[in-house]
Amino acid sequence: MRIAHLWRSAAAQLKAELAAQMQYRADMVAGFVASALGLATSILGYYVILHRGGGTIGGWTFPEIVALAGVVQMTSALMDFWLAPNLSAVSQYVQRGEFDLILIRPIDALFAVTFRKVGAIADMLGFFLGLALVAVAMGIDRHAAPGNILLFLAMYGAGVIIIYALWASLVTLAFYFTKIEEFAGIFYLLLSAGQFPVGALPGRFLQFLFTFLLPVAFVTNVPAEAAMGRVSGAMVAAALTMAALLLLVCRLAWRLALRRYASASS
Amino acid sequence: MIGRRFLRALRALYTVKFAESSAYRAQSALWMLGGLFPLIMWAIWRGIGTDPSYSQRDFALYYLFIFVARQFTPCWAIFVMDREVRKGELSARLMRPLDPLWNLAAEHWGEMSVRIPPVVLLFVLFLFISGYGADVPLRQMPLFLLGLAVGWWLNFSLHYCMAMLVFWTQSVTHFDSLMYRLFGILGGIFTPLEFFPPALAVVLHYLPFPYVMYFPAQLALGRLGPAATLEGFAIALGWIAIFTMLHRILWRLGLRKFAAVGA
Repeated sequence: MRIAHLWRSAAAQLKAELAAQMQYRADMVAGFVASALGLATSILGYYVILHRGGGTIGGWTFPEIVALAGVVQMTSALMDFWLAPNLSAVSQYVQRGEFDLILIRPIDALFAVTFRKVGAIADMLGFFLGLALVAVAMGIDRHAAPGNILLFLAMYGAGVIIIYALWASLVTLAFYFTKIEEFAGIFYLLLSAGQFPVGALPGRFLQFLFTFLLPVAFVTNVPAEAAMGRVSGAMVAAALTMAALLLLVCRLAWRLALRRYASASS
Repeated sequence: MIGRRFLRALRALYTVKFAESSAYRAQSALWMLGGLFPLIMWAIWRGIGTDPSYSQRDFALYYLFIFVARQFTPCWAIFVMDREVRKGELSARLMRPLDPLWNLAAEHWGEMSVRIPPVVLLFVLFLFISGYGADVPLRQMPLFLLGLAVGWWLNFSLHYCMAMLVFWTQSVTHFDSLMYRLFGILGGIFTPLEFFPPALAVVLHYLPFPYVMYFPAQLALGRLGPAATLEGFAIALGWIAIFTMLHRILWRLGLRKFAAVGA
């Protein structure tokens, strides 16, 4: 009942925001062109690397790499459209005391912070461009079976939860240090590392680092592997465990941080 | 007379912007993190192995210099213009006797100056890790710095042209993501540009993209002969001339439009 109400209000806000953005059509088109051109050039980049690397990158074939490029594009769009606008604003709420306005509402604070704003529509279009690319890659390699599709969706969902939980945990630092902005850079760097199969990195240390400590492998690699039918059961289990664990850490971090919050005026 | 006053104004602007950037060092540091991507590409190429035209040493030095070049050729002109035109903050700037372009340029110089110590530190650190510390061609450094200055100027003029479009479209932030993504691949971060298919490499040679990061890195590695060096600088300066002319024209036309909105 309450959840339904939450979603209705979020949807209404989204609609108003989108209508406002339709005013800036040229920028929207530029955004879509940026996504499409960016995707095309990155595939060119992959092609060049594959060509030099003897046909594979870290054991991944070209269609598998295309699926990976699609997943990266989807996640980058989601970060632009959803995560960055909402989570980057937390530091500002704390600084200006605007957080009071969120706390007095009868809504869970983390939920309210998470679904308050949206980015540019063009970035959302970029998301579907990425999804289309994954579908094309699945089609080329004939992996478009229902099982793979479901597994891909599950793994992509786990990946999104992982990056969301990491980001939302990190922004609670704003409650301790007040002025913490530009965190986004870290996540875009992580994502750019995720443009490649983690197995292509030299040395166990780097591979371990990007799988478990900076878990970008679960955000980009595992969903792409799931789509292309090459993911192992152990990785699926690890991804789900990681997502659940980080979500728990995130809730805990928020509970601690809220206890710290002293409002701007008191 | 005017020249001296102009220089004094520029110096004052720089001092202010430097102080501003120093005050927000933590923010600069977080910004810089995003610039570590070339080092990830270096790791990827290490994993792929050597190449006839690039040894492991070449890859290491190439990406270290690309990293430095990227740190010193940043441009956020599009974001600033987008905000100032949409919110009308530009009106206040127009009251000053100095073209807003200089204010923006000084902002970039201030930020770049703050970055010098950490970038040099990271460069030396990664050079030490790579084990190729003795292989840095020190004799090429003056040429590299010159290439970097030209590269920054080229990047700034290109972004400033895009920023001028705000007078017509009211919002331009996505032109920045377009530039960002194009420079990622065509500017030489993903792969050294020699690896592109030959037909494409020829076209790219005459476009502005290679001259911001790739060309300075090539200069640093000493991979270009005197003729190629001169040609590179000529192409870069040619683009700077074209973009400068273009943004001057767009500025004049756009301002008329801006005044019309505000009045």
